[in-house]
Amino acid sequence: MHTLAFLSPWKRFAITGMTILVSLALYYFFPSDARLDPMLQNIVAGIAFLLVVPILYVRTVLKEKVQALGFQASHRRLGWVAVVLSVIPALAVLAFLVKVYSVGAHYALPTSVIQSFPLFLFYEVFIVGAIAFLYEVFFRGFVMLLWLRDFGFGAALFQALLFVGTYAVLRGGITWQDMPLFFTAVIAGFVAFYTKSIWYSFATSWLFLFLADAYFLVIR
Amino acid sequence: MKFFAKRRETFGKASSVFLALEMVFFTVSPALAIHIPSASEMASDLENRYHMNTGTIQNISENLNVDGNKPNVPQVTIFFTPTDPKPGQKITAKALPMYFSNQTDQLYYTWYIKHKGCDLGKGGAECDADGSGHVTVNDWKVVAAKIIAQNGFDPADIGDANYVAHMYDAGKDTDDDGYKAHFGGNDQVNRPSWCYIFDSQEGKNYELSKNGSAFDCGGGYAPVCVSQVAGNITSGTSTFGPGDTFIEGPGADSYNSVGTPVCSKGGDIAWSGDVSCNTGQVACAPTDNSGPFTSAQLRSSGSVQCNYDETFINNCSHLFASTNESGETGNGSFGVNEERFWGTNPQNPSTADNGTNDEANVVGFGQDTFTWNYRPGDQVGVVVEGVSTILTKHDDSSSMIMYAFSKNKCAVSGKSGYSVNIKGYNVAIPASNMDESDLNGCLEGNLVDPLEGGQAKKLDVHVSSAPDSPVNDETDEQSGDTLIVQADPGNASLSAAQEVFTWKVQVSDIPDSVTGADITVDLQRAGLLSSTKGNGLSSIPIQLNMTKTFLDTLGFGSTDPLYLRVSVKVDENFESGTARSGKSDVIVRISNTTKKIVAYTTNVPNVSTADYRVALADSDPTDSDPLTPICNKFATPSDKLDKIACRVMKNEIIGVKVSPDAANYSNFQWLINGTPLPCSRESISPQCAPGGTQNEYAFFAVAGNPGDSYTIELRATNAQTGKSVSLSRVFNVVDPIVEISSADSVQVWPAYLGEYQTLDGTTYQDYSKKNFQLFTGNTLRFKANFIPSYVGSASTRKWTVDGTDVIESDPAAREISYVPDVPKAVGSAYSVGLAVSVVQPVEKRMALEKIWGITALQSQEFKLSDSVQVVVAATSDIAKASGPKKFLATVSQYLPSSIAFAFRLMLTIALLIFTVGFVFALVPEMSEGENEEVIISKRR
Repeated sequence: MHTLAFLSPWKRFAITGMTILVSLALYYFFPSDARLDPMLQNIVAGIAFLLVVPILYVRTVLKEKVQALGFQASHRRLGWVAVVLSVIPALAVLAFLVKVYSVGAHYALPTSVIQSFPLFLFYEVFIVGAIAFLYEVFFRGFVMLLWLRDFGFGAALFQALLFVGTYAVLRGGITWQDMPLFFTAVIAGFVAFYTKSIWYSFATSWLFLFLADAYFLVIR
Repeated sequence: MKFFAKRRETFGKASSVFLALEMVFFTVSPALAIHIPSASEMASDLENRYHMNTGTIQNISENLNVDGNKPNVPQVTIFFTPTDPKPGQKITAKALPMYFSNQTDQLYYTWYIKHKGCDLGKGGAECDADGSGHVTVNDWKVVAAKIIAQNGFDPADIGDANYVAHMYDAGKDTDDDGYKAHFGGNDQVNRPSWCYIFDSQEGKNYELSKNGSAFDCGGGYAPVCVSQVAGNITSGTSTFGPGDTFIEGPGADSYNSVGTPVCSKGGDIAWSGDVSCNTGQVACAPTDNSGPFTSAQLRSSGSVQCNYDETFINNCSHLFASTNESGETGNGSFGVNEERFWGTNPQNPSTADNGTNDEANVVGFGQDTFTWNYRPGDQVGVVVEGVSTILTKHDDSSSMIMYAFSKNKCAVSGKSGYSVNIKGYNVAIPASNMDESDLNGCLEGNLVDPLEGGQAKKLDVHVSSAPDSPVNDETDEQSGDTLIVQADPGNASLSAAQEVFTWKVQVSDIPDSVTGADITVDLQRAGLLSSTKGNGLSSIPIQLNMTKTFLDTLGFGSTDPLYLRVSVKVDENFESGTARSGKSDVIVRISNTTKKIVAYTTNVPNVSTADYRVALADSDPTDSDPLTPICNKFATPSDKLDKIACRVMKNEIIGVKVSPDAANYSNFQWLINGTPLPCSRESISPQCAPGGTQNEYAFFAVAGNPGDSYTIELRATNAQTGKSVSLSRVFNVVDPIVEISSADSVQVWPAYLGEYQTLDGTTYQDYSKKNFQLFTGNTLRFKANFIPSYVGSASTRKWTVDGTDVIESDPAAREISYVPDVPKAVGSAYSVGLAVSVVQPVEKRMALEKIWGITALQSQEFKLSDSVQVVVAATSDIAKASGPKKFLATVSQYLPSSIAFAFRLMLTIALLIFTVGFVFALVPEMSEGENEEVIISKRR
């Protein structure tokens, strides 16, 4: 026991960080079953490692409430103001990038979504919403609010970098298609930092992604 | 002298005239001039001139003499359905009448049925259907007629008990369902009625007539046979004692009637009018009393004569079922009493609901079927009344009205005859005094037991074989045809599964239907024939792989052709214990040779010179054989299948030749599905013979669709033996397929599925074709197998492993050898896919179009694909496991993937949280002082 005593000052930080990295590693190395649909496996594994692991860790290891992950609605007015203030400039930057780097040419929406407005709504609400929620819980909640909470503003930047890096590794690279998602990592991180709530960061992410998709749909 | 001179002059003139006439009429033939021919000579001359054989003429004349004795008299046969009735089951007897001039629906069918125990003069009240007090054939008829007329009618169906109780009251019969029967059938209205019965021994038809007015005794008198009453005792003692004698005086003047006189006849038909009595003497007695008579009352019989002319009267009668004094059947009136007797509905003209009046149903008008509930011991019969095709001799429009009995048995009795003057001639007409009673006496002998049948006893078995020109392979290749022999019992009552087939195979070198060695057991021992006896064994396959050694022991080694006589006996056994059987056979000509028809793919060798004639091509460039045929292997079951029926794809050009060579063969004739298959050097192939004659090569284009087949047959003459030779080969058109299989079973192998056992008890290992296994780090080595195999040479293949394209490591063998960059873990899987595009070379498509008229549009490209899953197995997994471990491994392998995935995920998360929690618990918490220092330092 004495051999681990040196970790005592950093116990929570070190073990939480280890858990985060191990979770991401397991997510990456977890074997897929060729007989099953790959997308289904990705979703189930994502739910397991990005949602279930953080909650179990907080509840069973740290013995804390899930509010530690940002499941709280504090600073309501600030939260919604932050959502709006973060989404608008992000959209402006995205529009700029679209103009300059022809991001729109590389951004593809599913054909069925393009051709059917109800499917578009379904896609945005359930699929985009679910993905955004998983990222919020893990990267903004688990990484930023729980693990790096003592690092102040730098935590928001770090989690964004971790997100981009992890995404690049898990996806095998990044494209212009992923650009809006990276925007959400940054702006949702700031919102979470200021509001200490992943609900607002989730709202930020979803709203930005929704508007970005709508924008790309319009400019097609 | 003058007289003589004048005479001489006259004679000289006459001689001159005669000579002149002779010169004119008899100078044609010197022979005729020799003598005047006789009539017999002229007839003989005619016979010779027209080649008439006197024996034949005599034979014809003799037949003509007795032709009248062989008439086509009406007959009837009964068929039963089913032939194996169960107690209580409905059984239908169907009468098939023949040689009636009426339509079958115009005849009268008098059915009768005898239940067990209802023999004539026996049986209880249940057998006395007509209520006469004793069992007669009329009871049998009544039972049948009621069944027909009622057809299941139940009075309770039409009214309540009160209605039923009074339904037969007087005045309730309102349906007017009477039917007037006509002699000879329903269509014989206002036709003369002359009934006849056929004596099958003599071949003579006897008219049913009786001499009812043979005697003329005057008014008030009738002919009788009388016997005088004994006289009084005229002497003796008044007290009788032993030894006393009595003297009887003359007969008393008293005569008793003891019978009726008959007209006796002498010879066949003696027209002399003799009258006689069997007992007593002939006399004319008054008709107003029945005797005894005094001599004064009797008249002399001296003038009594049988008078055959004009005194015979028609004695036609129907044989309908009759009521017991409830009314005459078939008289046109069907009153309430008859309705009651027959159990018909008095308010429904057709109780049987068959569109025929009740009384017509009772008389059996058009009722050629009879259906009843079978009881063991039942016997039925039918008498059919109608008009025959034989004309009577009477001077009217009549044909003979005749009766057909179900077994066509009825002995003629009371034979006599009479003469009638017709057109000025006395015509003799044989007659019989048989009346209705006599005819009814024939019915018992015509009862038919449904189980013994009046139906056919023998099964009519037809045997056929395929293919038409089978070939036996004497070599060890065992590539001979499979001869399928099929037996079809056409008139079977049972299904094939309930029939017993017994087969026998004989071999001979001559097409003899009798001789030949029985090789049934030899074939079975050699594994060329399986079961030869069993239920449902309606066909047997004979593998024509009788080796030379096998045939040598039978004395037929290298004998060509051979003849197999395959005979079958079919037995049909019924539950009742009766049986039927039938036999048949087929003799099959077998070509017994080491030569075969071998098939090849083709190419266009001279395409550079725009010469699109085809030639045999090598189907497998990977082997050493420069000209590898197709469908010529026999290593695998699939290969053997190709040997029997070579699988080919549509729009392929197939070349065939005799292998190993056609030495000693001549007069080649190639046939495709029985029609000539031409091969021309000028237009089809340089390997063909010039000028349209045929040689050992032939080519054909597969223009049929999948499912079609081609039979290529070669007929030639063996110059050595002088016998004809026949070889054949079958080609089946199939949809090409591609299958992925392991190219190295050490690296990757098909998943083990289990075992299956065939009916003969042989156990086989079953391996998946879609799921494979390998160990981590192994190479995924797969190859593409095509059916037909030569399709691969025209294919372009694209392999993928987990969606990544993989280049073939050996394109000739169509193999991939893929080593994953990062080997997957145990339990994970690779997905291997193969997409194939097949198109014939352009020059071949040109040949198809130019030679066989198959356009490029018809021979365009087509796609094939296949995919397999390869699971990474643990080294201790299925491949090397055994016992329970093997079982568990197999179970885990086939656990639903989704469950396995979720289970793995949960275990991983649980392990992660447990480990983290464990480490978290190991690291000690800081003391409060240390904690404050940390906080202070952070604030600094």
